[in-house]
Amino acid sequence: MSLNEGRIGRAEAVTAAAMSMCVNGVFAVDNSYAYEGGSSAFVTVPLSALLSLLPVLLLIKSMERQGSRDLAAHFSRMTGGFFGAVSMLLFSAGLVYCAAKPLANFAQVMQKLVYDGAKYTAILAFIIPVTVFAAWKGFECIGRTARCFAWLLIGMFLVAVISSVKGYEIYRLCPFLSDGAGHMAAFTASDTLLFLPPLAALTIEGGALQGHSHIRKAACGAALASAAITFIAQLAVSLAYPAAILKDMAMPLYRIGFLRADTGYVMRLDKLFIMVWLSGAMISSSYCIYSAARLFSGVFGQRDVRPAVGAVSLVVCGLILMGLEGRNGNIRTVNDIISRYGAAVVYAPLLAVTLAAFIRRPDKKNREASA
Amino acid sequence: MGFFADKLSALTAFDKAYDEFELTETEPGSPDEPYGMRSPGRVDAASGDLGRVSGSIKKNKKRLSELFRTDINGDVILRGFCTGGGQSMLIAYMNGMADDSKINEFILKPLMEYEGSERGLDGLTENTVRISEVRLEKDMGEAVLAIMDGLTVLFAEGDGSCAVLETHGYEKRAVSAAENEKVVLGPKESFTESFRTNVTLLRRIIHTDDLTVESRMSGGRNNTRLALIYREGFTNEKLIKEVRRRLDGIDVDTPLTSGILEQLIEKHSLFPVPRILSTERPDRAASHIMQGRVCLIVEGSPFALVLPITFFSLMNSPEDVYMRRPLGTVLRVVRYIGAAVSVMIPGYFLALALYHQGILTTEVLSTVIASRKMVFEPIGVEILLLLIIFQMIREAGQRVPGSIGQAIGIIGGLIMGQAAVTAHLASSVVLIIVAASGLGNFCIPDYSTQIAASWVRLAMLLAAWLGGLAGMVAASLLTVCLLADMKSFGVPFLSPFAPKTRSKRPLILRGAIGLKGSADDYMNTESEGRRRRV
Repeated sequence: MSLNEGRIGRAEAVTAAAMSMCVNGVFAVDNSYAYEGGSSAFVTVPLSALLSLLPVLLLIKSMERQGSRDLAAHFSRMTGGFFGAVSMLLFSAGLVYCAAKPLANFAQVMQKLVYDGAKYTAILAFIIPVTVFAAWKGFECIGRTARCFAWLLIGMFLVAVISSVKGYEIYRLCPFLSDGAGHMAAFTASDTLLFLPPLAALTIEGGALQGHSHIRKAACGAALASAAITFIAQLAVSLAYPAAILKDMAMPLYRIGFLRADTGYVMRLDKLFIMVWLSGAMISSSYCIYSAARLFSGVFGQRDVRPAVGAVSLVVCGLILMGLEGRNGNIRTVNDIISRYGAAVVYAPLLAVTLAAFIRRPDKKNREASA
Repeated sequence: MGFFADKLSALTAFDKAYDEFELTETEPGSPDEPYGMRSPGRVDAASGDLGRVSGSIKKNKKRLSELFRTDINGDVILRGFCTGGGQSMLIAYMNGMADDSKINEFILKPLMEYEGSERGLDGLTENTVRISEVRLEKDMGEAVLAIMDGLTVLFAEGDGSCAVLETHGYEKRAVSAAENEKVVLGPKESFTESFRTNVTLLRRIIHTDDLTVESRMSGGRNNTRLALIYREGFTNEKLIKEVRRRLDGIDVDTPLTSGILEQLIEKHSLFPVPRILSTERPDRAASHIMQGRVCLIVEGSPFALVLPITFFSLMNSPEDVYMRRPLGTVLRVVRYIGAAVSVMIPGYFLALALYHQGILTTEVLSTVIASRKMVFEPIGVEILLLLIIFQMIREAGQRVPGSIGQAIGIIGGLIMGQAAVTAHLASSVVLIIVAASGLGNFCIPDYSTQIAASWVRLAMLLAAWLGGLAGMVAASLLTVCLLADMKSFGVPFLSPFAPKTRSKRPLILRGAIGLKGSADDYMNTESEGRRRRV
């Protein structure tokens, strides 16, 4: 680590991206869709995480070909000013969704199961300011904080999964595919909405991540780590509850603690687990907010990212409140539409920019400068 | 108001590039002056505008008399005399600061007995004066500084320079055992208030030829002597330059001590967590210098400042390496557990008691309720009150002499605690929680870090009071964010863990002695080259 270099380590980048993907893959999955066709989520969700890696690797390759330092420069260069801005907005929408969804889920579960009857705003008053503060401080801070919390989160996750082992039954994995492989494939594709934005966000920090090969390695590491963790989590959940129950259950990993019926002096740790996992969701949201703001600043040529962080935070906050306090039926419909077809909105700009980069002749000057 | 306005504008200055805020500590320019302390410009001895030394003794004497107001200040001695050869001379020194017997025996006596023809200071100091450390100065400002520092200045008629002779002779405390950083195994000696003694203590431990002691005066009116100690060619050049730059920016009237210097060269002196290690142990300072850190010693301060530091170096005690590896490891693990208990347990208990009673089993909950049955104040107030009383006992114990201090601790801890429970001012469960938290706090080896941990504990308690475990999670995340964002002279505070850098030493467990040889990667020492991998 050299003094005054302002660079970000690969370990921190991997942790931040993997944490965001894991939080989304464990706590933000749309269970009504995931378990609609049986208990196949332990295959489809990790598969989505791995599937997200493919467009990101292509994107990195295209950036390398054109010598683009980061995603903002790549958007501007490949699609031009107006289309660059539109592409940026579409991709940022994915990041904003990934920032809002887990926090909204946590707030909902906490309101119902931890702080019985408390107002959503009262719960969010503790969550949002710290999340925004971390985003305000920048990627350096987010990455390091993620690294500090990562072992605690993994530890708590494993304790939760292992301590509930008595309640697991193998027969609950049936039916595995009641609606057939088509549903499974559709869900896998649409679920990449939760994995692709945080993974592709690594390219936004291209300059700070010390080059394309580092971004590539970080992306692979994050995708593999999140695939492994989401597999364990979804398998544990599927073994604990049948698909018919899971379909209507919010945050099932939290509820597998209920399978333990410990009495005596052993404390019930489920509330502690959810609080520790909440910290992961907050870091994940900070990462997505910061990435969206950084992309926005990059495309519009703003030197300071913090005003954009403020603006994106407001949007995220508004979305969470709308999701929690809006009319239940309408919100559910919108949520269903986003979780089924939202991935297309994120894929479109990334594929467009990747395609354009492979079609266009590489800019030698940029490539040399980048090298 | 101006200070807070500046801080606010720094926080919301949107016109600057984002990257500038990432590394605020190493921005070009002078560091901030805390509380607006910056003395107005003045003509003083250090600025060197007192002119040159005159060839006339009469003029020099008159000048020094005016400068030192000898009509009022009786301790400034200006004595004229003639050598045996008839050369007129003037001797100037500060009574009490310089050693009288040394002056009489080795300066005045040989010069008065000298009957040769040599008249210049160059020859006289070379052959006649029996003082080992002599230098010639032509600048009157330097002469004045030397007199104030306890040296003796010699003038000769017809010579446009003066001789500065080493005659320090003031009273000083002997080297004694360390009081704040006691160890069972390992060296006992500590730094004293004497600048030279402190440098010597370090030189006695470090025998490498690259050890450099850069002696310099602080800025401002007081001109305190301080030393910048590092290993030349090993310690990062950028770091040394940065320390020099920050030292150059000091311009205060307050007498400089290590504590004040620490605040003056820190960028964010309002944040409670220290970014500079203040140690009274020469062995600890020497160990850090060997690893490529910079050490600062200030005249009149029995502490050395070591920089840059990380969280993990603040949590290490010098004793860890003086005992066997497994024992050192156990001590360190206990220390980290103690620190965690100190910071978290009052808040956690309050969160469970107020918001999450379901986490506790019926048996534990009924014990808590039974112990608080007759206590009249709310549980939050009770914990806060006991924490304040605990802090008061601690402060009182530190400020009074040894045996009485111990007595206060016993009275406060045992008698007052028992009385508070009997009088239903506090419950026994809360008393145990606060005592455990206090004990954990004492496990932290660094005093400043102990105080910082108390602040964090208070923040956790208030957060838990307001929002239960969610409040604690928010407060914990905020604390870690702030620590992760912190830098000590460009080195991230949580390195080598976050950011992950190469380090041969384990973070919490104690590594083997053989691994102590090379510096950590984040120090980026010169001889190891600039490693690019972060």
